[in-house]
Amino acid sequence: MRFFRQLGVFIAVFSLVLTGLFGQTNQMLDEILAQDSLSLGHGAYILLVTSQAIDEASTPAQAVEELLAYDSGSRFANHQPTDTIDLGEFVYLTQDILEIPRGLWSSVFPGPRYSLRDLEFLGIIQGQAATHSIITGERALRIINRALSERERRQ
Amino acid sequence: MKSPKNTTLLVLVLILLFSLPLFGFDFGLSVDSTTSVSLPLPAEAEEALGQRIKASLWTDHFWTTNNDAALGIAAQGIYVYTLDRPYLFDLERLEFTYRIPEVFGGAAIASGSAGRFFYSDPTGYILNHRIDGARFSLDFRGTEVRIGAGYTGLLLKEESGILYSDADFADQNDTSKTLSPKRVFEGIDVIFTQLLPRQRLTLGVFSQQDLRGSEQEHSLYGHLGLTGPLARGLFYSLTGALGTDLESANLGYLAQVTSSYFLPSFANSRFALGFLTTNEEFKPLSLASLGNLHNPGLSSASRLQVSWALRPWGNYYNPLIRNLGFEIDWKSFFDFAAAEKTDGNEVTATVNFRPTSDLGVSFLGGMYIPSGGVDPEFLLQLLVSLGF
Repeated sequence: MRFFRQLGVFIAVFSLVLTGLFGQTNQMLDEILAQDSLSLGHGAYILLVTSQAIDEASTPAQAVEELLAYDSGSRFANHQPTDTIDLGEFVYLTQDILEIPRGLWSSVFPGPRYSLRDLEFLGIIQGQAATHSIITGERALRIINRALSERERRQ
Repeated sequence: MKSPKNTTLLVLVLILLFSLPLFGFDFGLSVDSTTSVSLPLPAEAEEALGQRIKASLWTDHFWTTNNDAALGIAAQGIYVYTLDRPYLFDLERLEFTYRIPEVFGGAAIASGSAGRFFYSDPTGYILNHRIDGARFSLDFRGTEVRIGAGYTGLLLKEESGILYSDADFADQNDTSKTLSPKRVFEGIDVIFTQLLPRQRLTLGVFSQQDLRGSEQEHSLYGHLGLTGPLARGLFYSLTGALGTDLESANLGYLAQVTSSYFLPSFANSRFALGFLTTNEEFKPLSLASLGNLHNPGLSSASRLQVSWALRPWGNYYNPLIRNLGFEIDWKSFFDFAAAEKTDGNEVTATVNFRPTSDLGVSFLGGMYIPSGGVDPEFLLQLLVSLGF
């Protein structure tokens, strides 16, 4: 099981290399992988760099500022970059920033609950998942990896 | 739920279900509608039309500990509407689960649950039903032991398929009774996944006891199963069960062999062939469904089944067509104990469509041709499932 975990993280990191992310992000990736509970700043950073909305030299604080320009990011207006986000919030940001297709209800009432269901349906979220459960940095990278594969299939 | 006590209990459970989201629990509502039309029209024309709407309000949550152990809770309350019964409220699930990844010094994984949940024995035919009880599993990586026990007397009779004895059928027709027959059961299964290369061997025993005062009928079953791959894409399953009621000691049997062949290169096809047979003495604890139009019951029944399921656009990205699937299914029914060995043939065609996470549609058209020159029966069925 540990082998598959390491393999998943390796694939996630490798995907990020392919998306041109691997400059100064070595240190950032280490920080993310070490997080038992993902911070808003690191979550925003990795998603926005992956979508090429910010430069990889940006900081997590700058990523959170940039996040406010997105519909899904407006809910974090009063949050600090060091605040933790839960699985539902991260998935909501992922669906919005990486433009993953929405289901019926997430189109009408966008939010973490419906985003989680949409991404579970698409196979991007695997394993046990609840909106308010914590998300580790390692799991966040694996989710981004699968979301990028999904986006690639679409193109 | 007619008694004030039961109504109060149900209201309390529903209040609890509605309040759990305040504590960070996930929740949702799903609505499933089944509309069916049967032909030829019966004498009472309205009996040809069937409509069932089921609304399920669910919630769940889980907690994990530092050593990866997990605790969870899941609950689901339902409202059911049918043409002959405007409402029924029930608690379909209330399950507390746990999983401990390392017990006996890391030699095994322990997991289990308690409450109201869906229980199925490994054959899927002896008991396949909601129950109130507990189950426990120890997985020694290669050998898994599963133990389960439960009670059926707290289930609403209207949604229950626990029909084993004549007394159960009498209770089913008794309007003064609202709950399912009072039976307890115990099952223990041992699953070997490394005894034979790439094969899964299951051995188990199952027993049930009637707790009512008179006309008690208890039964005991033993079963085994073997599943695994035969070649690339080709899988088989063998199931055998013996069962006896402890009063008459008549021995019943069930035997089933199935095989499936997956051929992704041909429209993501799955071909399946299966044969099931039982003798008259084989009596399951819960009702088993053998067909969509023709359902002869599991005693003294034999069925040959051939099916082909395909998803022609399964490799496309667009979810609108990716999850569009078709299935054609042929069943021949036999009763080798009767003078007329062949019961008839049933053929159904199904279209399944699930474009998004919250919408699913299924359309089934079927025909049953009884033997002996009897007119065929037809069924059209539309299922729509919507999640909120």
